[in-house]
Amino acid sequence: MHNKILSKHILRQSAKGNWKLWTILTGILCFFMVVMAVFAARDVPNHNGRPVMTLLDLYGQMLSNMNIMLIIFAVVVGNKLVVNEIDRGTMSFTLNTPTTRKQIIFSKALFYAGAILAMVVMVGLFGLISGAATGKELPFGRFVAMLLGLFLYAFAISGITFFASCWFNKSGYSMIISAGVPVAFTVFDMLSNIKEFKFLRNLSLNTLFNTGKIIALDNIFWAQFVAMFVIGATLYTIGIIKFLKKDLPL
Amino acid sequence: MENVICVKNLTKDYGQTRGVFDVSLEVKKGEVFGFLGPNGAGKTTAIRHLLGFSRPQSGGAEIKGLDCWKYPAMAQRHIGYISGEINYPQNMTGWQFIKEIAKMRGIDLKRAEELCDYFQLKANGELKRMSKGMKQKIALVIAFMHEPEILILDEPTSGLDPLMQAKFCDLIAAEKAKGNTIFMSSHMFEEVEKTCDRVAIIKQGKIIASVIMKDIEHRKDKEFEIRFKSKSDAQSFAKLNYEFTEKNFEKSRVKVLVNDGQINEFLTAVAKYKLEYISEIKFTLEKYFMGFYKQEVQDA
Repeated sequence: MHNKILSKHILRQSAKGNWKLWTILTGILCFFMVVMAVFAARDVPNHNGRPVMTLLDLYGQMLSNMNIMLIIFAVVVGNKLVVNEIDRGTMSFTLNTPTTRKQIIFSKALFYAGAILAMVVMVGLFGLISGAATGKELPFGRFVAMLLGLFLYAFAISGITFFASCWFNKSGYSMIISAGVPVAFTVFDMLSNIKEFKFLRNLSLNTLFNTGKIIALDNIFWAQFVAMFVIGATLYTIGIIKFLKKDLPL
Repeated sequence: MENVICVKNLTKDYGQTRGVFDVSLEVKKGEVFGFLGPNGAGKTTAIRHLLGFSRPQSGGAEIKGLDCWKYPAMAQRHIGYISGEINYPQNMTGWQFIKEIAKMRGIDLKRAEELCDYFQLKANGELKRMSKGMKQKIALVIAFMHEPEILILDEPTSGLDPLMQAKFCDLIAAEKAKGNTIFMSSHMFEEVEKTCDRVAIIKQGKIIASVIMKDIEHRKDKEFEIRFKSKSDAQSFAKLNYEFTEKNFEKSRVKVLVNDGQINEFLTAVAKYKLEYISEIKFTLEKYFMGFYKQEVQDA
């Protein structure tokens, strides 16, 4: 048992404790996908007689504005999974069973990244179905690339939270980092629209998820995808190592 | 008897004399070991090392020969643990939580039900609405329900009423009778006195004394308080060659230490005077502990 890397109990408990928030946030995102499809179906033409925005454009704009849903999920769940259990001390009960630290942290990491992936997949399915239902054309490859970008963005953000949640023993510190950094990214992203603050876009993770570049098939997006994956994977790895090695104040 | 708990030169320095420093102790199978000390003395720090929650700076801890830091999950199989500060997951009933832990340990609920009955615990209420005593009982059920060989209990009776404390002491006695080993920390002398075979006293992270309870109970030196009818009797008696711990002539009272070997001679001497009363002052662990405590203060 102790050489197994995952614990079905931890996976089950994680799902049980977080499905409500997941359902609400996923529901909101899916709802907006449907709204976008309905909006696109109205086919508002511009003076050249062609629609101003394609369905893909609308989806892209919606997803880059509504990624806050994924950030909320990442921050709330990421803190709940690790640091809250240490700060409150409830993890001492889990460790007083044959469950190892390794099983705890790998199960939690898998659940966490998996729940985010499932969220993006649901959004994708709703996007495809709504597109088909309204009879609008949706370039499949570019749409999937957009979803992959969304997932990698959320994966990188969740990496920040997971890292903070594993690194700190106090919920407060972890919350400041895990909520503060993504908020700072969003603020930088907004400020960078002003000419004087353009340099701030280089400091924001949001820059790496650029739906415009994906739609235009600008090849830079592949490099951005790789960067987001590396950021996320590195932060998850550091978090896991820290959790395995640190003193737990239980 | 084999040692089931073994701490060797364990050091963990948190700075400002907090932590544990070069602590060594051994607990034999079937022994009830008390770990006594004031708040912040390092009891919980030592316990965290036994459970593999903390990595020793130097030295180490072993449970049944398993290094607690390297093989915590294997060591934990043998352990039932009650943390000093108990918190439960939110939005769960007590019984749901007990079932959850039982599932993770792969055990049935027979013993858990017995323990709930024993502590008169109705566990089906929401955990967050429970009183401190009820939460403590849930923790006791969880720690004992898989019938572990070793129980590590950090202040296990806090929050329990006197009746339940007595029940707890009986449970410890029953566990000991089964050959299980108990390691419990406490800052309550009475509880330790009633339950433990051996007690170590920790202060500022160092073990300053270790005592076998039988030695205290069967101490050969006994202290008596004698009150005489008259002040002059008290003064005259006080001139005799005994070890007096207190002379209070105002109240015509003395306190005197007498070895069992001297007792007959002592009684003959006392019989020559007119007394109000004579009584033995029971030597308690608290007294023993305070002796060390005072000495430490003087040394410092």
